[in-house]
Amino acid sequence: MENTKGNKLIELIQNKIGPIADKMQGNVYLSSISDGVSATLSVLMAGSIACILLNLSFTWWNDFIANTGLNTMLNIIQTFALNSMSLIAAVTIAYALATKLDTDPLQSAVLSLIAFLIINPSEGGTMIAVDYIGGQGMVAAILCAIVTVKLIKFCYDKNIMIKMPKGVPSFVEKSFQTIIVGTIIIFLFGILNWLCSKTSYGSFVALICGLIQQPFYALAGSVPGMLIIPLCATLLFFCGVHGMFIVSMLFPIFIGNMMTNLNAVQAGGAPTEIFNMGFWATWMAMGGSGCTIGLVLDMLLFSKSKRYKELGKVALVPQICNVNEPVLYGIPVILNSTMLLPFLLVQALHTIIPYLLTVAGILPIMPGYMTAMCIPSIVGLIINGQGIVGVIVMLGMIALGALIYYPFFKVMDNKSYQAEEEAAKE
Amino acid sequence: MGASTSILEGRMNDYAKEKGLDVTVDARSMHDIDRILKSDKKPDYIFLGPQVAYKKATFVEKYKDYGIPIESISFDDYAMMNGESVVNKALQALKDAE
Repeated sequence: MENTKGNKLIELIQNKIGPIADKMQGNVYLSSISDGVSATLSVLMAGSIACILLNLSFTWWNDFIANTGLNTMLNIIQTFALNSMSLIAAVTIAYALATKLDTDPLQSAVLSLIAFLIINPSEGGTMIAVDYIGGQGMVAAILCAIVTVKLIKFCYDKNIMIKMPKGVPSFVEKSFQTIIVGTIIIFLFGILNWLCSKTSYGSFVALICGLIQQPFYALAGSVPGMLIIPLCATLLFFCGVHGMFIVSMLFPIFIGNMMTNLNAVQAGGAPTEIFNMGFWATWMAMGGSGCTIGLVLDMLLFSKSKRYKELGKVALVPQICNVNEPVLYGIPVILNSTMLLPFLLVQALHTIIPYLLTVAGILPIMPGYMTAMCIPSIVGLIINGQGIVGVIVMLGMIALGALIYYPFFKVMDNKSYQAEEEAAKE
Repeated sequence: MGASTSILEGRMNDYAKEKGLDVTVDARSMHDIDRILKSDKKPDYIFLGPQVAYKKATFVEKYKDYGIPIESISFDDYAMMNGESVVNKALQALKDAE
Protein backbone atom coordinates (compact mmCIF):
# COMPACT_ATOMS: atom_id res chain seq x y z
CA MET A 1 0.00 0.00 0.00
CA GLU A 2 2.49 2.59 -1.13
CA ASN A 3 0.93 5.98 -1.37
CA THR A 4 2.99 8.26 -3.56
CA LYS A 5 0.93 11.24 -2.45
CA GLY A 6 2.07 10.71 1.13
CA ASN A 7 5.67 10.56 -0.01
CA LYS A 8 5.35 13.79 -1.95
CA LEU A 9 3.79 15.44 1.06
CA ILE A 10 6.60 14.46 3.37
CA GLU A 11 9.09 15.92 0.90
CA LEU A 12 7.05 19.09 0.86
CA ILE A 13 7.17 19.27 4.65
CA GLN A 14 10.89 18.65 4.69
CA ASN A 15 11.81 21.13 2.01
CA LYS A 16 9.24 23.92 1.99
CA ILE A 17 7.54 24.04 5.37
CA GLY A 18 10.61 22.93 7.29
CA PRO A 19 12.49 26.20 7.37
CA ILE A 20 9.41 28.24 8.38
CA ALA A 21 8.13 25.76 10.96
CA ASP A 22 11.59 25.45 12.36
CA LYS A 23 11.69 29.17 13.07
CA MET A 24 8.26 29.17 14.61
CA GLN A 25 8.51 26.15 16.84
CA GLY A 26 12.21 26.47 17.21
CA ASN A 27 11.46 29.76 18.91
CA VAL A 28 13.03 28.82 22.23
CA TYR A 29 10.88 31.21 24.23
CA LEU A 30 7.55 29.88 22.99
CA SER A 31 8.59 26.26 23.27
CA SER A 32 10.03 26.82 26.76
CA ILE A 33 6.79 28.44 27.93
CA SER A 34 4.89 25.52 26.46
CA ASP A 35 7.18 22.95 28.12
CA GLY A 36 7.11 24.82 31.43
CA VAL A 37 3.32 25.09 31.48
CA SER A 38 2.90 21.45 30.42
CA ALA A 39 5.06 20.40 33.35
CA THR A 40 2.39 21.76 35.71
CA LEU A 41 -0.30 19.43 34.33
CA SER A 42 0.61 16.48 36.58
CA VAL A 43 0.10 18.72 39.59
CA LEU A 44 -3.22 20.02 38.27
CA MET A 45 -4.42 16.49 37.66
CA ALA A 46 -3.72 15.50 41.27
CA GLY A 47 -5.44 18.69 42.44
CA SER A 48 -8.47 17.88 40.31
CA ILE A 49 -8.76 14.45 41.92
CA ALA A 50 -8.65 16.01 45.40
CA CYS A 51 -11.31 18.47 44.31
CA ILE A 52 -13.58 15.74 42.96
CA LEU A 53 -13.22 13.77 46.21
CA LEU A 54 -14.14 16.90 48.16
CA ASN A 55 -17.27 17.53 46.12
CA LEU A 56 -18.83 14.08 45.76
CA SER A 57 -22.51 14.29 46.56
CA PHE A 58 -22.84 11.27 48.86
CA THR A 59 -23.79 12.07 52.44
CA TRP A 60 -21.95 9.07 53.90
CA TRP A 61 -18.76 10.12 52.11
CA ASN A 62 -19.03 13.73 53.23
CA ASP A 63 -19.62 12.58 56.81
CA PHE A 64 -16.66 10.23 56.55
CA ILE A 65 -14.17 12.85 55.33
CA ALA A 66 -15.48 15.41 57.81
CA ASN A 67 -15.20 13.02 60.78
CA THR A 68 -11.73 11.80 59.88
CA GLY A 69 -10.41 15.24 59.01
CA LEU A 70 -9.60 13.96 55.55
CA ASN A 71 -11.44 16.96 54.14
CA THR A 72 -8.76 19.24 55.56
CA MET A 73 -6.07 17.15 53.89
CA LEU A 74 -7.95 17.18 50.59
CA ASN A 75 -8.40 20.92 50.92
CA ILE A 76 -4.69 21.47 51.43
CA ILE A 77 -3.87 19.28 48.42
CA GLN A 78 -6.45 21.08 46.32
CA THR A 79 -5.31 24.54 47.35
CA PHE A 80 -1.64 24.01 46.63
CA ALA A 81 -1.96 21.69 43.63
CA LEU A 82 -4.49 23.87 41.83
CA ASN A 83 -3.31 27.24 43.03
CA SER A 84 0.45 27.33 42.53
CA MET A 85 0.64 27.27 38.78
CA SER A 86 2.59 30.51 38.29
CA LEU A 87 4.97 29.66 41.11
CA ILE A 88 5.76 26.33 39.45
CA ALA A 89 5.92 27.91 36.01
CA ALA A 90 8.53 30.43 37.20
CA VAL A 91 10.73 27.42 37.97
CA THR A 92 9.88 25.12 35.07
CA ILE A 93 9.99 27.72 32.32
CA ALA A 94 13.36 28.98 33.55
CA TYR A 95 14.65 25.42 33.67
CA ALA A 96 13.37 24.61 30.17
CA LEU A 97 14.70 27.84 28.68
CA ALA A 98 18.13 27.51 30.31
CA THR A 99 18.41 23.97 28.97
CA LYS A 100 17.56 25.17 25.47
CA LEU A 101 19.90 28.16 25.62
CA ASP A 102 22.62 25.90 26.97
CA THR A 103 23.23 27.70 30.25
CA ASP A 104 22.80 26.69 33.92
CA PRO A 105 19.25 25.23 34.37
CA LEU A 106 19.43 24.67 38.13
CA GLN A 107 20.67 28.18 38.94
CA SER A 108 18.13 29.65 36.53
CA ALA A 109 15.28 27.80 38.21
CA VAL A 110 16.39 28.88 41.69
CA LEU A 111 16.89 32.54 40.81
CA SER A 112 13.67 32.74 38.81
CA LEU A 113 11.74 31.31 41.78
CA ILE A 114 13.15 33.88 44.19
CA ALA A 115 12.64 36.69 41.68
CA PHE A 116 9.00 35.64 41.38
CA LEU A 117 8.52 35.56 45.16
CA ILE A 118 10.10 39.01 45.49
CA ILE A 119 7.70 40.65 43.05
CA ASN A 120 4.63 39.24 44.83
CA PRO A 121 2.75 41.19 47.48
CA SER A 122 4.25 40.08 50.79
CA GLU A 123 3.30 42.69 53.41
CA GLY A 124 6.91 43.74 53.66
CA GLY A 125 8.23 40.19 53.55
CA THR A 126 6.16 38.78 56.39
CA MET A 127 4.02 36.44 54.29
CA ILE A 128 3.46 34.94 50.86
CA ALA A 129 0.15 36.04 49.40
CA VAL A 130 -1.62 33.35 47.39
CA ASP A 131 -3.35 35.92 45.16
CA TYR A 132 -0.87 35.76 42.30
CA ILE A 133 0.91 32.43 42.60
CA GLY A 134 -2.00 30.74 40.80
CA GLY A 135 -3.05 31.64 37.28
CA GLN A 136 -3.03 35.39 37.94
CA GLY A 137 0.75 35.67 38.02
CA MET A 138 1.44 33.68 34.85
CA VAL A 139 2.70 36.48 32.62
CA ALA A 140 4.87 37.80 35.45
CA ALA A 141 6.26 34.29 36.02
CA ILE A 142 7.12 34.01 32.32
CA LEU A 143 8.84 37.38 32.53
CA CYS A 144 10.86 36.37 35.61
CA ALA A 145 11.98 33.19 33.91
CA ILE A 146 13.06 34.83 30.66
CA VAL A 147 14.82 37.81 32.27
CA THR A 148 16.62 35.55 34.76
CA VAL A 149 17.86 33.11 32.14
CA LYS A 150 18.93 35.87 29.76
CA LEU A 151 20.88 37.63 32.51
CA ILE A 152 22.57 34.40 33.59
CA LYS A 153 23.51 33.61 30.04
CA PHE A 154 24.78 37.14 29.47
CA CYS A 155 26.93 37.17 32.62
CA TYR A 156 28.35 33.70 31.95
CA ASP A 157 29.08 34.46 28.31
CA LYS A 158 30.73 37.80 29.11
CA ASN A 159 32.62 36.15 31.95
CA ILE A 160 31.26 38.52 34.57
CA MET A 161 32.30 36.58 37.68
CA ILE A 162 34.70 36.56 40.58
CA LYS A 163 38.07 35.22 39.46
CA MET A 164 39.65 32.68 41.77
CA PRO A 165 43.37 32.18 42.16
CA LYS A 166 44.85 29.12 40.46
CA GLY A 167 44.49 25.90 42.43
CA VAL A 168 40.98 26.63 43.68
CA PRO A 169 38.82 23.62 42.81
CA SER A 170 36.46 24.29 39.92
CA PHE A 171 33.28 23.63 41.94
CA VAL A 172 34.30 26.33 44.39
CA GLU A 173 34.89 28.74 41.55
CA LYS A 174 31.55 27.78 40.07
CA SER A 175 29.68 28.57 43.25
CA PHE A 176 31.27 32.02 43.33
CA GLN A 177 30.44 32.46 39.68
CA THR A 178 26.75 32.59 40.51
CA ILE A 179 27.09 35.15 43.31
CA ILE A 180 27.37 38.20 41.08
CA VAL A 181 24.66 37.23 38.65
CA GLY A 182 22.39 36.11 41.50
CA THR A 183 22.80 39.43 43.25
CA ILE A 184 22.11 41.36 40.07
CA ILE A 185 18.92 39.43 39.33
CA ILE A 186 17.49 39.47 42.82
CA PHE A 187 18.18 43.17 43.36
CA LEU A 188 16.81 44.01 39.92
CA PHE A 189 13.47 42.42 40.76
CA GLY A 190 13.60 43.87 44.28
CA ILE A 191 14.02 47.37 42.87
CA LEU A 192 11.32 46.82 40.22
CA ASN A 193 8.92 45.74 42.93
CA TRP A 194 9.89 48.70 45.13
CA LEU A 195 9.12 51.06 42.22
CA CYS A 196 5.75 49.38 41.70
CA SER A 197 4.95 49.69 45.38
CA LYS A 198 4.82 53.45 44.77
CA THR A 199 1.99 52.93 42.24
CA SER A 200 -1.60 51.98 42.90
CA TYR A 201 -0.82 48.41 41.86
CA GLY A 202 1.38 47.91 44.91
CA SER A 203 3.54 45.15 43.45
CA PHE A 204 5.26 44.25 40.20
CA VAL A 205 3.16 41.13 39.73
CA ALA A 206 -0.06 43.12 40.16
CA LEU A 207 1.16 45.72 37.66
CA ILE A 208 1.96 43.08 35.02
CA CYS A 209 -1.31 41.32 35.69
CA GLY A 210 -3.34 44.51 35.37
CA LEU A 211 -1.54 46.04 32.41
CA ILE A 212 -0.72 43.00 30.26
CA GLN A 213 -2.30 39.78 31.44
CA GLN A 214 -5.89 40.83 32.03
CA PRO A 215 -6.35 42.64 28.70
CA PHE A 216 -4.73 39.72 26.87
CA TYR A 217 -6.78 37.13 28.69
CA ALA A 218 -9.97 39.11 28.14
CA LEU A 219 -9.24 38.93 24.41
CA ALA A 220 -8.07 35.32 24.30
CA GLY A 221 -10.75 34.13 26.71
CA SER A 222 -13.58 35.64 24.67
CA VAL A 223 -15.62 33.53 22.24
CA PRO A 224 -13.69 34.78 19.15
CA GLY A 225 -10.40 34.15 20.96
CA MET A 226 -11.49 30.64 21.89
CA LEU A 227 -12.33 30.00 18.25
CA ILE A 228 -9.35 31.62 16.57
CA ILE A 229 -6.52 30.40 18.80
CA PRO A 230 -7.38 26.66 18.58
CA LEU A 231 -8.02 27.11 14.84
CA CYS A 232 -4.50 28.50 14.46
CA ALA A 233 -3.24 25.34 16.15
CA THR A 234 -5.40 23.20 13.85
CA LEU A 235 -4.03 25.04 10.84
CA LEU A 236 -0.50 24.33 12.06
CA PHE A 237 -1.38 20.65 12.40
CA PHE A 238 -2.65 20.80 8.83
CA CYS A 239 0.80 22.03 7.82
CA GLY A 240 2.32 19.02 9.57
CA VAL A 241 3.58 20.93 12.60
CA HIS A 242 2.51 20.17 16.15
CA GLY A 243 0.31 23.11 17.19
CA MET A 244 -0.09 22.23 20.83
CA PHE A 245 2.24 24.99 22.00
CA ILE A 246 -0.30 27.58 20.83
CA VAL A 247 -3.14 25.96 22.76
CA SER A 248 -1.03 25.61 25.88
CA MET A 249 -1.03 29.41 26.07
CA LEU A 250 -4.73 29.17 26.78
CA PHE A 251 -4.14 26.80 29.69
CA PRO A 252 -3.67 29.56 32.27
CA ILE A 253 -7.06 30.93 31.21
CA PHE A 254 -8.73 27.51 31.40
CA ILE A 255 -7.16 26.85 34.77
CA GLY A 256 -8.06 30.31 36.10
CA ASN A 257 -11.68 29.74 35.07
CA MET A 258 -11.64 26.28 36.57
CA MET A 259 -10.44 27.76 39.87
CA THR A 260 -13.17 30.42 39.81
CA ASN A 261 -15.75 27.67 39.30
CA LEU A 262 -14.34 25.36 41.94
CA ASN A 263 -14.24 28.16 44.48
CA ALA A 264 -17.86 28.95 43.66
CA VAL A 265 -18.84 25.28 44.06
CA GLN A 266 -16.93 25.12 47.33
CA ALA A 267 -18.90 28.12 48.59
CA GLY A 268 -22.15 26.36 47.72
CA GLY A 269 -22.75 28.27 44.47
CA ALA A 270 -22.76 27.25 40.82
CA PRO A 271 -19.93 27.41 38.25
CA THR A 272 -19.97 30.55 36.09
CA GLU A 273 -17.09 30.22 33.60
CA ILE A 274 -17.79 28.12 30.49
CA PHE A 275 -14.30 27.97 29.00
CA ASN A 276 -12.44 25.90 31.57
CA MET A 277 -10.05 22.97 31.62
CA GLY A 278 -12.92 20.48 31.52
CA PHE A 279 -14.57 22.17 28.52
CA TRP A 280 -11.27 22.15 26.70
CA ALA A 281 -10.44 18.50 27.43
CA THR A 282 -13.97 17.25 26.81
CA TRP A 283 -15.10 19.24 23.78
CA MET A 284 -12.28 21.16 22.13
CA ALA A 285 -9.62 18.44 22.40
CA MET A 286 -12.07 15.59 21.78
CA GLY A 287 -10.83 13.25 19.08
CA GLY A 288 -7.57 15.09 18.59
CA SER A 289 -6.93 17.89 16.12
CA GLY A 290 -9.94 18.25 13.79
CA CYS A 291 -12.01 15.98 16.08
CA THR A 292 -11.74 13.12 13.59
CA ILE A 293 -13.90 10.47 15.31
CA GLY A 294 -16.63 10.96 12.69
CA LEU A 295 -14.07 10.53 9.95
CA VAL A 296 -12.97 7.18 11.38
CA LEU A 297 -16.63 6.09 11.47
CA ASP A 298 -16.93 7.08 7.80
CA MET A 299 -13.93 4.91 7.03
CA LEU A 300 -15.28 1.93 8.94
CA LEU A 301 -18.81 2.19 7.53
CA PHE A 302 -18.50 3.55 4.01
CA SER A 303 -15.08 2.69 2.58
CA LYS A 304 -15.06 1.19 -0.89
CA SER A 305 -11.27 1.07 -0.99
CA LYS A 306 -9.22 -1.45 0.95
CA ARG A 307 -6.85 1.30 1.96
CA TYR A 308 -9.36 3.21 4.05
CA LYS A 309 -11.06 0.11 5.42
CA GLU A 310 -7.70 -1.00 6.83
CA LEU A 311 -6.87 2.47 8.07
CA GLY A 312 -10.20 2.73 9.86
CA LYS A 313 -9.44 -0.46 11.78
CA VAL A 314 -5.96 0.68 12.78
CA ALA A 315 -7.14 4.17 13.70
CA LEU A 316 -10.22 3.33 15.79
CA VAL A 317 -8.74 2.50 19.20
CA PRO A 318 -6.16 5.32 19.32
CA GLN A 319 -8.90 7.65 18.06
CA ILE A 320 -11.16 6.84 21.00
CA CYS A 321 -8.23 7.85 23.23
CA ASN A 322 -7.91 11.19 21.38
CA VAL A 323 -4.81 10.06 19.46
CA ASN A 324 -5.49 10.68 15.80
CA GLU A 325 -2.12 10.70 14.06
CA PRO A 326 -3.02 7.52 12.12
CA VAL A 327 -5.94 9.46 10.61
CA LEU A 328 -3.98 12.67 10.03
CA TYR A 329 -1.18 10.86 8.19
CA GLY A 330 -3.24 8.01 6.77
CA ILE A 331 -6.02 9.85 4.92
CA PRO A 332 -3.83 12.03 4.78
CA VAL A 333 -5.42 15.15 6.24
CA ILE A 334 -2.03 16.86 6.52
CA LEU A 335 -1.38 19.16 3.56
CA ASN A 336 -4.35 17.75 1.70
CA SER A 337 -6.40 20.66 0.37
CA THR A 338 -9.45 18.39 -0.07
CA MET A 339 -9.63 17.87 3.68
CA LEU A 340 -8.81 21.39 4.90
CA LEU A 341 -12.37 22.74 5.01
CA PRO A 342 -14.00 19.95 7.06
CA PHE A 343 -10.90 19.73 9.25
CA LEU A 344 -11.23 23.37 10.34
CA LEU A 345 -15.03 23.38 10.35
CA VAL A 346 -15.45 20.37 12.62
CA GLN A 347 -12.83 21.74 15.02
CA ALA A 348 -14.64 25.11 15.18
CA LEU A 349 -18.03 23.44 15.72
CA HIS A 350 -16.59 21.53 18.66
CA THR A 351 -16.16 24.90 20.36
CA ILE A 352 -19.28 26.69 19.11
CA ILE A 353 -21.98 24.05 19.59
CA PRO A 354 -21.17 23.00 23.18
CA TYR A 355 -20.68 26.70 24.02
CA LEU A 356 -24.09 27.68 22.64
CA LEU A 357 -25.79 24.70 24.29
CA THR A 358 -24.23 25.75 27.59
CA VAL A 359 -25.32 29.36 27.18
CA ALA A 360 -28.81 28.13 26.33
CA GLY A 361 -28.83 26.16 29.58
CA ILE A 362 -29.21 22.78 27.86
CA LEU A 363 -25.80 21.70 29.16
CA PRO A 364 -24.81 22.75 32.68
CA ILE A 365 -21.62 24.83 33.02
CA MET A 366 -18.81 22.43 33.88
CA PRO A 367 -16.91 22.87 37.14
CA GLY A 368 -13.88 22.19 34.95
CA TYR A 369 -12.20 19.00 36.19
CA MET A 370 -9.58 18.02 33.68
CA THR A 371 -8.78 14.53 32.49
CA ALA A 372 -5.54 13.33 30.94
CA MET A 373 -5.33 13.81 27.17
CA CYS A 374 -5.49 10.08 26.40
CA ILE A 375 -8.59 9.38 28.47
CA PRO A 376 -11.70 9.18 26.26
CA SER A 377 -13.60 12.47 26.35
CA ILE A 378 -16.74 10.81 27.65
CA VAL A 379 -15.01 10.45 31.03
CA GLY A 380 -14.56 14.23 31.23
CA LEU A 381 -18.19 14.60 30.27
CA ILE A 382 -19.37 12.44 33.13
CA ILE A 383 -17.12 13.73 35.91
CA ASN A 384 -18.12 17.26 34.92
CA GLY A 385 -21.78 16.44 35.50
CA GLN A 386 -23.04 16.76 31.92
CA GLY A 387 -25.31 13.77 32.44
CA ILE A 388 -27.35 11.94 29.83
CA VAL A 389 -27.94 15.14 27.83
CA GLY A 390 -24.18 15.55 27.58
CA VAL A 391 -23.80 12.00 26.27
CA ILE A 392 -26.50 12.62 23.67
CA VAL A 393 -24.80 15.87 22.61
CA MET A 394 -21.47 14.06 22.35
CA LEU A 395 -22.97 11.33 20.15
CA GLY A 396 -24.59 14.09 18.10
CA MET A 397 -21.23 15.84 17.68
CA ILE A 398 -19.67 12.57 16.46
CA ALA A 399 -22.52 12.04 13.98
CA LEU A 400 -22.27 15.64 12.79
CA GLY A 401 -18.53 15.21 12.28
CA ALA A 402 -19.15 12.03 10.28
CA LEU A 403 -21.69 13.90 8.14
CA ILE A 404 -19.40 16.88 7.46
CA TYR A 405 -16.37 14.71 6.71
CA TYR A 406 -18.37 12.28 4.53
CA PRO A 407 -18.39 14.04 1.11
CA PHE A 408 -14.72 14.99 1.40
CA PHE A 409 -13.79 11.51 2.56
CA LYS A 410 -15.70 10.05 -0.40
CA VAL A 411 -13.50 12.03 -2.82
CA MET A 412 -10.43 10.46 -1.23
CA ASP A 413 -12.01 7.02 -1.05
CA ASN A 414 -13.05 7.01 -4.71
CA LYS A 415 -9.57 8.01 -5.80
CA SER A 416 -8.08 5.20 -3.74
CA TYR A 417 -10.64 2.72 -5.00
CA GLN A 418 -9.91 3.59 -8.63
CA ALA A 419 -6.19 3.31 -8.02
CA GLU A 420 -6.72 -0.11 -6.43
CA GLU A 421 -8.88 -1.28 -9.34
CA GLU A 422 -6.27 -0.17 -11.86
CA ALA A 423 -3.50 -1.83 -9.89
CA ALA A 424 -5.54 -5.04 -9.85
CA LYS A 425 -5.99 -4.94 -13.66
CA GLU A 426 -2.28 -4.65 -14.35
CA MET B 1 7.35 12.10 22.20
CA GLY B 2 3.63 11.53 21.93
CA ALA B 3 1.23 8.64 22.36
CA SER B 4 1.22 7.63 18.71
CA THR B 5 5.01 7.49 18.59
CA SER B 6 5.04 5.11 21.51
CA ILE B 7 2.52 2.86 19.76
CA LEU B 8 4.82 2.61 16.73
CA GLU B 9 7.83 2.09 19.00
CA GLY B 10 6.02 -0.89 20.53
CA ARG B 11 5.11 -2.32 17.13
CA MET B 12 8.71 -2.01 15.92
CA ASN B 13 10.11 -3.71 19.02
CA ASP B 14 7.47 -6.46 18.76
CA TYR B 15 8.44 -7.14 15.17
CA ALA B 16 12.16 -7.22 16.00
CA LYS B 17 11.53 -9.66 18.86
CA GLU B 18 9.29 -11.87 16.76
CA LYS B 19 11.96 -12.15 14.04
CA GLY B 20 14.78 -12.49 16.57
CA LEU B 21 16.48 -9.37 15.23
CA ASP B 22 19.14 -7.59 17.25
CA VAL B 23 17.21 -4.34 17.11
CA THR B 24 16.11 -2.03 19.93
CA VAL B 25 13.83 0.88 19.20
CA ASP B 26 13.67 3.83 21.56
CA ALA B 27 11.16 6.66 21.03
CA ARG B 28 12.47 9.96 22.29
CA SER B 29 11.57 13.63 22.14
CA MET B 30 13.36 15.45 19.36
CA HIS B 31 14.77 17.82 21.97
CA ASP B 32 16.87 14.92 23.29
CA ILE B 33 18.72 14.37 20.02
CA ASP B 34 21.67 16.54 21.02
CA ARG B 35 22.12 14.87 24.38
CA ILE B 36 21.80 11.36 22.94
CA LEU B 37 24.29 11.97 20.16
CA LYS B 38 26.78 13.39 22.64
CA SER B 39 26.29 10.47 25.03
CA ASP B 40 28.07 7.12 24.74
CA LYS B 41 24.87 5.34 23.77
CA LYS B 42 24.55 6.48 20.20
CA PRO B 43 21.89 5.02 17.92
CA ASP B 44 22.72 3.35 14.60
CA TYR B 45 19.81 4.93 12.83
CA ILE B 46 17.52 7.86 13.57
CA PHE B 47 13.93 8.11 12.37
CA LEU B 48 11.91 11.28 12.58
CA GLY B 49 8.15 10.95 13.02
CA PRO B 50 6.15 12.82 10.37
CA GLN B 51 5.29 15.40 13.07
CA VAL B 52 8.90 16.52 13.14
CA ALA B 53 9.84 15.70 9.55
CA TYR B 54 10.30 19.43 9.02
CA LYS B 55 13.40 19.19 11.19
CA LYS B 56 15.15 16.77 8.83
CA ALA B 57 17.26 19.25 6.87
CA THR B 58 18.37 21.04 10.04
CA PHE B 59 19.30 17.82 11.82
CA VAL B 60 21.05 16.25 8.84
CA GLU B 61 23.21 19.35 8.47
CA LYS B 62 23.85 19.84 12.19
CA TYR B 63 24.78 16.22 12.94
CA LYS B 64 26.46 15.19 9.70
CA ASP B 65 29.78 14.59 11.52
CA TYR B 66 28.28 11.73 13.49
CA GLY B 67 27.68 9.72 10.34
CA ILE B 68 24.34 8.41 11.62
CA PRO B 69 21.59 8.29 9.00
CA ILE B 70 18.55 10.48 9.75
CA GLU B 71 15.37 9.66 7.84
CA SER B 72 11.66 10.49 8.08
CA ILE B 73 9.03 7.82 8.59
CA SER B 74 6.59 7.82 5.68
CA PHE B 75 2.99 8.92 6.21
CA ASP B 76 1.72 5.45 5.35
CA ASP B 77 4.02 3.50 7.65
CA TYR B 78 3.18 5.89 10.45
CA ALA B 79 -0.55 5.88 9.84
CA MET B 80 -0.76 2.08 9.67
CA MET B 81 1.64 1.77 12.61
CA ASN B 82 3.64 -0.54 10.38
CA GLY B 83 6.56 -1.46 12.64
CA GLU B 84 7.74 -4.16 10.26
CA SER B 85 8.17 -1.80 7.34
CA VAL B 86 10.00 0.87 9.35
CA VAL B 87 12.43 -1.62 10.91
CA ASN B 88 13.16 -3.21 7.56
CA LYS B 89 13.76 0.15 5.91
CA ALA B 90 16.43 0.96 8.48
CA LEU B 91 18.06 -2.47 8.22
CA GLN B 92 18.06 -2.29 4.43
CA ALA B 93 19.57 1.21 4.44
CA LEU B 94 22.30 0.14 6.87
CA LYS B 95 23.02 -2.93 4.72
CA ASP B 96 23.19 -0.81 1.56
CA ALA B 97 25.59 1.59 3.22
CA GLU B 98 28.06 -1.18 3.98
